[in-house]
Amino acid sequence: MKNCYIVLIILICFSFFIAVAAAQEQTPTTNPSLESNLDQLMTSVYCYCGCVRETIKQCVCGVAQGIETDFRTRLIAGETVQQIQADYLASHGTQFSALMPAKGFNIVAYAMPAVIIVLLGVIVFLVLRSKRKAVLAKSPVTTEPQDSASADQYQQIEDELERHKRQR
Amino acid sequence: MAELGQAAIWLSVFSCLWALMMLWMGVHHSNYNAVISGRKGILATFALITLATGALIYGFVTNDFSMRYVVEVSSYDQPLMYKVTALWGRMSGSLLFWLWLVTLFGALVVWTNRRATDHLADYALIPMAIVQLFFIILVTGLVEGVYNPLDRLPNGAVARDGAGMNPLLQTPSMVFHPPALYVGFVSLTVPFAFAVGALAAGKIGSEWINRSRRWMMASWLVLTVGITLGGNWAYRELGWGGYWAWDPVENASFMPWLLGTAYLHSVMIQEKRNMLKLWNLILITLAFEFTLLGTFITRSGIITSVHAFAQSDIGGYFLGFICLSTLGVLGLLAYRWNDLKSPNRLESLLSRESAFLLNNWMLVGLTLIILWGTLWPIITEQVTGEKAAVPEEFFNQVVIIPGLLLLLLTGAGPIISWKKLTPSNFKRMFAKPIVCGVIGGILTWAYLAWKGHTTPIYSTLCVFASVFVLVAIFDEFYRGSKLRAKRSETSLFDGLGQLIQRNKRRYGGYIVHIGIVIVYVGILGSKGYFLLESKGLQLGESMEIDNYTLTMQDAFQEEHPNFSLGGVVFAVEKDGKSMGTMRPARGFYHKAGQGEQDTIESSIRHLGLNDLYIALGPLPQNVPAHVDSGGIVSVQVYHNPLVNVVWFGVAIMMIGGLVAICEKPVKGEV
Repeated sequence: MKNCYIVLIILICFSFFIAVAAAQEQTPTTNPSLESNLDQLMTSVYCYCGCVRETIKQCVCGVAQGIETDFRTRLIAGETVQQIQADYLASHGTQFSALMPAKGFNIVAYAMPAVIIVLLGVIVFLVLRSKRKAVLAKSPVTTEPQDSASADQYQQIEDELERHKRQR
Repeated sequence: MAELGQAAIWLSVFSCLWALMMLWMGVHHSNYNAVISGRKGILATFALITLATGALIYGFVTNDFSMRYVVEVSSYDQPLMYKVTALWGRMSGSLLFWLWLVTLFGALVVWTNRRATDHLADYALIPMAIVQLFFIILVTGLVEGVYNPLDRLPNGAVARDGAGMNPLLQTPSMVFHPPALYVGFVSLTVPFAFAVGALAAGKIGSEWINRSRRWMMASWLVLTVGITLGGNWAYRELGWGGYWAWDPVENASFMPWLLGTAYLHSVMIQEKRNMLKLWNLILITLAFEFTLLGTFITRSGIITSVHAFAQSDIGGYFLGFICLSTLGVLGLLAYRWNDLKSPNRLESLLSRESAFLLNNWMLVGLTLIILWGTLWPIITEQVTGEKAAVPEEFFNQVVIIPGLLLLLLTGAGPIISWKKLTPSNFKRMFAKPIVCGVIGGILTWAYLAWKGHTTPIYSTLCVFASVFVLVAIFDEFYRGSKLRAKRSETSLFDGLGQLIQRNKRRYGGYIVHIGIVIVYVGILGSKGYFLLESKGLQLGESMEIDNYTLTMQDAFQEEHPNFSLGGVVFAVEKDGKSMGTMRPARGFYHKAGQGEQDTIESSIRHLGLNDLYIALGPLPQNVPAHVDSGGIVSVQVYHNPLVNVVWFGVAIMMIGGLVAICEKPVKGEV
């Protein structure tokens, strides 16, 4: 039985290893400079066709197709990614930016999750500490700890067996 | 029928008020007759709202285009199934459906507690009646921004035909997804009502938890199904190859789920150790309020969403109700403050109680982080004057650490002992999972490094945590089964059966944890390593993604009762070997309400754990003519690794949840 258990553990390890490895196995497509710039642009702004929060690359509408053609033409003409991006956002509004760089006011957005977790953590820690202090002050001799989850299981079985014997 | 339905809604105002008054009087003066009368009022309200809902469905089925709501969301050629589901197609009908569910659950509480000797359930019926009254008032059409769904068109007008429901809602997923979400949301009212009832009655022990346990678990389960069906719908219907984008509506459903999950864990501490009474009351209140907050966020129009099909001006009423109900609960908490103190204390920072507290910390933290991200556009608008969009990437970044910690706790929680973790317990329970986790993480990292891939640290950590959890849980099952088998002198398999049979709640929970790990792995693969290729193709041309070659072979056109389907046929090959064909299309709806006229009908090929996914850009209505004349078809192809693992993981969660819910209620529980 112990062998089965070891085999099971190895299988679990390998299934994860293979699954994640398979997921990462794909060879990234190599794009020339124009294509990679176009890709960068198309993933950096949202389409304004009415779809919600789909980048130009994700959106399959006609508007997105037109924008892609426009971006390609402008890149060939020598405009930079930043110029085209800035023009797009100036014409349609900053709500169409698919990027949220941690700059300016956005820093607050990125900082707040950490603040939330830390603040909640401090609260949990203080609660735990105060409760622990209280119990130490109240009874210096702690009760015998239950050693493991298996001990619970042992106890449960003993109770059931006892009940069964009594019924007999 | 419409008039009968309207009359039923108006009568329900009185029956609900009657129930409220009688229950209040009954429990306060221990007047049994008044209590019985109040219960009957709850049942009467349910009967009346059922009649009103039935009248609306009758209007749909009989194409009664003199009814305003029927005209807006139905049409003659809409299939019967979608005529019925049009009930939740827009705001007024959704509210009526929500109300019907609240009254149904009220009636079920009356029925399941009919033999209860105490008045706890009667106390719980009072907040339920208040919630019912709030929705009845909305449905009557008295308030601005929403009309009575049974209203007729003005001046006796009858429309020739209806506008039809939004085509995006005319899919099988939408038959099940909204009701599942509504049932999940609304059933949270029951444990909340029991919590408020317990506070009002001064019975703050574990009785209210026992009485509402099955409700809570059912609610959590159905909410899980609803959220997953929503993701599946987005994956199939929206054409962007994903199932979760941290859209405000998705977040609105996810936040109560997170809080519900936190509650399901923390109540165990109250049951085992008689601790965290106050915290549990706060958690269940938050979970309930977040269902309303989600509705406020998505229905008020303050934030745009791909899922918001029913926007109106009712957000303010929801916000008002949230404030009032929260104030009410806070008042009751203040009133019972002294009774909420627990006699027991934590004995060690390293114990199962502490692990559950950490789990609650992460779950509540995640909820607040998601709320923060969801409200960020409003905050930026107020501060900078410009409404910012919050990209999916933001959420992905900020939830990684709490998400991974939660995953670790999924494994640590079940194996750490109550009261105190001793070094011997740590060695016996944690050593194997940690060693296996490290081996899994290192193997993955080494393999990918050998293959020349850079692996983000979170991938390796996720593999480590996943293996850790699975080994820890399987170890628990193995130890327990072995022990059972030894004691009853039976096989290990029988021992496993006995083990689960004897403690369904505990081991059902562990199965849920296994499902969660599987979902994590699916998310890691499908979100982290998907590929997307876009190209404009003419007939006979090909494109490649990963090892697959897709060749556009043909075009087709199909006619259906209320829409036509035009698309192309792709021959799929992998490494030169034929894999059959795929048929992505666009749907052209003849009547589409206020929605889009054409829809993306993506084609999905399941390749074991992965999917090949094709969506088409806009096409003229006669696709074969367009393609045959050399027209270009815009094609997007996704290769989504491990996406099917997500659905499989949720199925495992469901099985675990069903096992756990089968646990026999303790005395007095419903």
